[in-house]
Amino acid sequence: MTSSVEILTDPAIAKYREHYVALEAQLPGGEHDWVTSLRDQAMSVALRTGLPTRRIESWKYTDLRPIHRAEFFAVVASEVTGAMLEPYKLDDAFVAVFVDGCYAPVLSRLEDVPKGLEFSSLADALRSGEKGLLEGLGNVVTLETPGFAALNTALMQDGGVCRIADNVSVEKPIQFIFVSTENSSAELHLRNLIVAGVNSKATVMQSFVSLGASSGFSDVVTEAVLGQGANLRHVTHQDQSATAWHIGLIAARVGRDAHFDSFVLSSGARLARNEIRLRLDGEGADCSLNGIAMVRDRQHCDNTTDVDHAISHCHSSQIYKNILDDRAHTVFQGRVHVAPDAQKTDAHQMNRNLLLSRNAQADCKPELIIHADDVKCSHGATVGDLDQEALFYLQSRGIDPETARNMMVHAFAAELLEALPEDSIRPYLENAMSLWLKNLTSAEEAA
Amino acid sequence: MLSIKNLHATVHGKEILRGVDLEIGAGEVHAIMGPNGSGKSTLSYVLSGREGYDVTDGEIIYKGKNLLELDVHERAGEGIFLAFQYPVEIPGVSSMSFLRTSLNSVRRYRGEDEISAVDFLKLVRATAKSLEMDDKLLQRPVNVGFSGGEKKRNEVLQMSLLEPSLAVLDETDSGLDIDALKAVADGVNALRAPDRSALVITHYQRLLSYIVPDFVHVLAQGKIAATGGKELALELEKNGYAMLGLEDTEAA
Repeated sequence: MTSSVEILTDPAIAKYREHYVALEAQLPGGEHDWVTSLRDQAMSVALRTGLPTRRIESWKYTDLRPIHRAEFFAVVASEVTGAMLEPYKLDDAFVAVFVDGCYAPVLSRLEDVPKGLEFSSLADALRSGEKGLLEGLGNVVTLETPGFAALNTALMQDGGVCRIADNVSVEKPIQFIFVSTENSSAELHLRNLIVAGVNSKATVMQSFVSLGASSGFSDVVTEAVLGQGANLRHVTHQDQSATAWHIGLIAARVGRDAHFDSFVLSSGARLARNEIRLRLDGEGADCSLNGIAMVRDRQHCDNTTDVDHAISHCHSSQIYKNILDDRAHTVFQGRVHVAPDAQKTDAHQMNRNLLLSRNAQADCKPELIIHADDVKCSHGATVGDLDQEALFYLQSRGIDPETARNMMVHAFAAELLEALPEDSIRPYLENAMSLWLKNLTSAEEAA
Repeated sequence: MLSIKNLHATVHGKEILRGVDLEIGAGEVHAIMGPNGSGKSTLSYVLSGREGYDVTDGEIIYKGKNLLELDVHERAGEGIFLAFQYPVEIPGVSSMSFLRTSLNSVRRYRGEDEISAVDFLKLVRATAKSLEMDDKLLQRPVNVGFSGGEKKRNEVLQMSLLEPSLAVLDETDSGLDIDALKAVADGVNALRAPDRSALVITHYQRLLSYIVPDFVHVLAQGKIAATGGKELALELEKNGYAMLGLEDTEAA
């Protein structure tokens, strides 16, 4: 019997070693030592830890091999006009547009940004070398956590940087639109940073959309720091083309009495992962993480959350709903960790799945790790199809079967949509959902 | 209006209706009584086209059309309305949007214009008021948190809005107190017209004091066992189904 020595270097990461050496000089901020050193350190972690495989618990249900096998090419310049982006822009919002991963000031709408809100593209901020602007960058993510954070930190190219000053309330939402152009098949490493000062209040939305068929790979990391009493609402709308790949991570640190509210509507990409890792590390910190995934064909959507109750008297609530058709696959993994001293923790989690097809698959894994004894924690999951009794009731009132079905699917998601604040984001998401339902009907008619 | 001939129907492979014959003329109100398990509700579901209720023989001709060829929503468009014995709660679907979608679907089917939001609101409020129904209920999702009586009033509200030519009331009286019963009956009576008919399915005579039928049929073991005028209901009330040689399983 012979024993072989296992090669520890993950082959998927190996190609990035050369890539990084070739690219390093061109990455923004290369002229500043602190930037280079941040990238170098991250790259060495990435090479040491590799990219996640299904053997790693937190990636058990999401197979990344198709991404590793896929070929990505450099961005080919493609003209994007304001009119093309109009359907994706929120009404009455500050908008920063990124075309194939590059900030496009001409397409953005950032005039009249109020005092106390500072916006910059990540690339500009890195080039300026101003440490102050990027304070917090790399401090919220843990590079060793299995995922793309280390690789992203090494290769980060552009993204949005938002700083909200202490005691400032920004009334209008701030929207980052990441648009992939037709036929683009680029690999993008996008990085955002949101710093919400003491008692500040803001809403940031990220929209990932494709103009036509794109088969690119977006690796997105967003770091958010919430100061004491800050109130940050974050919305992700991931609606990339069904041939694209999307791996997103939001890492947040929520301070004393601060409130972080996240909503993820994910309907795009061949494979998508929307991961949120946050740490409640001031008493009275509170987070609410909600999401809806709508998938069809062979789409795969993974929502993974990790909430760390590091201190007492914090509250977290999570509701994720998945709507699956055809052979689609969803994953919900919700991990809640309650530290030994985190007494009076209040943590709730619910995952509901609506299967519109017998061939769809929903995996759900709640994971509660509780080291304190005076806590309220709960989790739950449901899987079901549409209520036939209700469908019959609607049809008996003259409503055709498609409309009845759409009303019921919409009803499934309504609890979450109706809880959204009454601003321009709610109709935007309602509309995105209606479009998805409309396509559901037309796809069936074509079949 | 409606002509049912030799209707046989199965539910989950079990034969429930075994040759029902029934003629309902325009403007007539027919009552169907009968012991539990006699097939009363099955008949109402077959008329509305519910999945799982399979017609194995016989025919139903409604206004000259073969009803069995129509889908559930088409039957509603043609003017058939089933008031459910157990109205369904639908969380997440708002009552108002449900009512409006329903009314406009039926209007479109009948080749009429859709109703405007303003006219719709007026119509719903006026109808709810006539049924002594609190219109605050309509701010809730469909039937969610409604009491038994409120659910039944909601059925009659929908019926009033859709103005069916054949209303089928499936044990609408069950679980109603006397005030609700009167309100429901008033709603049904308000719809009576020479071109509208109703089929009232009930276990007890009580409702028929308020909705006075032209004909009373007794359904037993999947067939019409007896037919008479409104006095038949009173006799049944007094003597029980035993007078027809039938067992009333509910009374037992």
